[in-house]
Amino acid sequence: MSALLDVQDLTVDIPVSDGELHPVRGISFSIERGETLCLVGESGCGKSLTSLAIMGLLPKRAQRTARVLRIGDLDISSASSREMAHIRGNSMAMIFQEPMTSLNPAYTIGNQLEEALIRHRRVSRAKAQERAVYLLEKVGITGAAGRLRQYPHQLSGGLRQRVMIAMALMCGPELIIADEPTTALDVTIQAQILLLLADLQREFHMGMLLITHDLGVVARVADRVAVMYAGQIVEQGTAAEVFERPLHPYTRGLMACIPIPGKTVRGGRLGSIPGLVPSLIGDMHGCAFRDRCAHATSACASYEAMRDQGDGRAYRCVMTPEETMAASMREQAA
Amino acid sequence: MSVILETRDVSCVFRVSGGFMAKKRSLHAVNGVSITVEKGSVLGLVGESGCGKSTMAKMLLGLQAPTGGAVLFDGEPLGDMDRLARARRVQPIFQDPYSSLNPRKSIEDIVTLPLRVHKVGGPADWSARAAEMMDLVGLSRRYLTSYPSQLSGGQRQRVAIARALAMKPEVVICDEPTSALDVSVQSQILNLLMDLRQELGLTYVLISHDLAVVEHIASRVAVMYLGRIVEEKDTETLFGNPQHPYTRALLASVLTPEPGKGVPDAQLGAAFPNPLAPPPGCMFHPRCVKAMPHCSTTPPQPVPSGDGHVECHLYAPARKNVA
Amino acid sequence: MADAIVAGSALDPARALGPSPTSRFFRRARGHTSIMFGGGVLLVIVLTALFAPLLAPHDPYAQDLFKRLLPPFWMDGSVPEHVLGTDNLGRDYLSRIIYGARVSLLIGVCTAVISGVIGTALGVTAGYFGGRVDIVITFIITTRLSMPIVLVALAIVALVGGSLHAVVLVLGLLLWDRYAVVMRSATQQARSMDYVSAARAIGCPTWRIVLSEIMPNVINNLIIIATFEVAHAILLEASLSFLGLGVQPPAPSWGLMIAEGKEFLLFDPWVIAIPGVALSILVLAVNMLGDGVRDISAPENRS
Repeated sequence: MSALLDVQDLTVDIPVSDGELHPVRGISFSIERGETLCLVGESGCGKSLTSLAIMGLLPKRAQRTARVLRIGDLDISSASSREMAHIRGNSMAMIFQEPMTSLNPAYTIGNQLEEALIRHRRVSRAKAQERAVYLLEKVGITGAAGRLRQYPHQLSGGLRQRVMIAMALMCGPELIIADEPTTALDVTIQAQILLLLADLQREFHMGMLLITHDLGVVARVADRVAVMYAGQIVEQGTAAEVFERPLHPYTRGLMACIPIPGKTVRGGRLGSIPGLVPSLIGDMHGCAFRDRCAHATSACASYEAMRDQGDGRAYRCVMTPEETMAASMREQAA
Repeated sequence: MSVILETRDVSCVFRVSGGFMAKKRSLHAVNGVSITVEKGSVLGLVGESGCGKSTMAKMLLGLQAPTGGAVLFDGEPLGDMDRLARARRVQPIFQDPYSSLNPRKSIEDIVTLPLRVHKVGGPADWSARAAEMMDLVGLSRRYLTSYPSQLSGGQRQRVAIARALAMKPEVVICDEPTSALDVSVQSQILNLLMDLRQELGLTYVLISHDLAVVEHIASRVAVMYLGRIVEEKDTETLFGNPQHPYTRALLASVLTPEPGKGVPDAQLGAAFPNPLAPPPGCMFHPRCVKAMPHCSTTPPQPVPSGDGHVECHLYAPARKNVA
Repeated sequence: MADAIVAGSALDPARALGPSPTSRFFRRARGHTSIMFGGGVLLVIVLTALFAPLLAPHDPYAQDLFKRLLPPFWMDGSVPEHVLGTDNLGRDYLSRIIYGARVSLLIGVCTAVISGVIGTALGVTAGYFGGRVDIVITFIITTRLSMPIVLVALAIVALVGGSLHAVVLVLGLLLWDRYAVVMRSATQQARSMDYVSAARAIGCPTWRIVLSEIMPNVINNLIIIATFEVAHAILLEASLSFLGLGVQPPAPSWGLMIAEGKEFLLFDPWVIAIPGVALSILVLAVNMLGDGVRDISAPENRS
């Protein structure tokens, strides 16, 4: 049974005034039905552009190449813009970070929900309305029929995000791409929305690509994790594998930065990663993390390959698993 | 330990128009808050959107006059101090490093603004002090001639810290100082803030929605909900044994990076309170799993708990209920 | 400090810094056609006006009734010493055009300064203080907007008598509305930024915040509006002069020249065409410059 979403060697290049920008450099991953893959990284790592590249929503100047870019049986890499418009919202749907700017303030909720279905399937407005009410109730909005006539500004942030989720589900997509869906929400609402997404995913047997910078969200929600840095995936595996035994120095560095109540020594120094992300313009070769890595050697300047540990576990570092675990011990002792 | 900052039943009510012809309504952004902050400590003020913590920050800085109650600095009302005296005692660090620095000013201008406004020394002193401040926050002196647009978010936040500390204030109000930064930069800034507090004997009021950070740095925590403090005590006790149902829900909702634990269900329901029309009685009762009949009619009074207080009928002395 | 920046490493500021905002502005300016073209043409016109006594071949007031309505060089019957021909009083047209540039530019700039000062003062005050002050000033702006300026200008000038000073004053006192509206919203935006809160927390007095923190950030908007209003003022002066209520003859104003030439429209259309074209070129250049400045300063407002 082939994967729902298959991405191999996805690359995005954007010409800019100083040269050529390479925000996404050879990303490969796959998502099965019913599985959640979290793409995690800090700002500038290329995770949002990856999702836009898959959806075909990149700016005109950007150039996308991929060896394989497939959802279900559809080959996206060579799809025309009209075919992509048909696929978007239909087989794949996206949920954005800011529900206020993704919902059109000039139209009612009902209007926007119904339009999402009517544009893709030839159904009557009455049928579309039925489905809208059904989905609003599914996402936990009470008084759904009345809500159809409301405008986005009449709802709170959490409710708007639920409406966004309902809108994404209108055509019954197979894959949901959620780009920082809870970052703009309060802590308590965030938990509710994530629970909701997990429930819906199970019920409708969808795959989910969740993009976030929040490691807490990743740990609790992801089946599998891909850590991105400077346009590349530097580590991937199941959530348990990546969090309990991180093999890449960047992953370990990130985890050391976060205080965990009950685990980190209160008032103690938090770990940090010195330096800044390197420039993504122009020729790039070797490990992009070497300038900030405590274990860098001269070999890092020419090493870039992924080390495949089997079963989807892989990391991009010149150190062997034994060397990197030893390095991890040294970091913890420091 | 002396109390350096205190608020006595402070309130801030805004008049908000209901629409074209509608009557003006009152928004109780802060509704009778009394807190004390001891010198050298860190008070964490936590709560979600609409709880009033930003308005509290503005009142503590003297940028917003309270409509009731008072903010006291070493016993002296903030409202009675002239702006320069106030500025020497309390300074802010804001959340957004992109809007807290004037894009048209050089870093040196930004960092020395307090010195120039307070007329401390002359131009030669200002340059020397600017260089000192850059060293203090770990930024190269070469950045003094740059502009904010040339710096990264973390570097800008360091500049904001340097500016806040230029006049050696006693209290620093940190309003979500690391929320807009990447994880790896957050820890650097938090480490810096902790080091500076030790070095300079500062007192912090840390406003944050990130409970893990608050637990790590703060010595006391106050939880706000719709303008009132619902629970306030030392950090260890509050995190170890949260009493107020809202505090419990809040702490339960925190997603720590520990795999396999799944997403917690705090059972709060989808209802979201409208600050313009707060629920009667206890404002939290519509979302409370432990709500009792009289919670919807009588507002709870603060009850001593540990070394602080909690405002919930579950702990009111007349009733023997244990949560 | 454990987290301090090490010189020479990837963290060294000398490597990490991008260009400063000023150098970025000028670099973009050089590459932008509107600015280069508009700015270039405007510069030529300004220099022409400045050096008019050196450039004009004849005295613009000198009449010669024997040489009336000589055509310009591209038509038959032209005379080499009058490249653009002569008007109906035998005055050299080229010299009148050159001196006319002075009038147009003078009026444009002076009006822009007067209305700019009034509009900016009102707009910034309304934007910064908000509340009742804003309500009052907005009322004043709305009142002004509901006035038909051309009619009011005509009425005032008719009462006071037409002259250069009258035109400048009248236009300056009437054309400040766009400045006020734009500066008000620009100030409101700047006011909501945290650096203003920081300045207040530092104890900065209000005048200093407005002049030192807010003004540098709204000055771009001011420049853009100023360029468009200069063009507006120039055209209005031309209209007023055309109606006989602006600059009085025998002064060389392009508007006046158009008025004086209207009788000859059928047989000697160049009498109107030449000052008309000159006016269009000036206004176009000013507008292009304003467009260009707005284009290149827009991305800068985003961080």
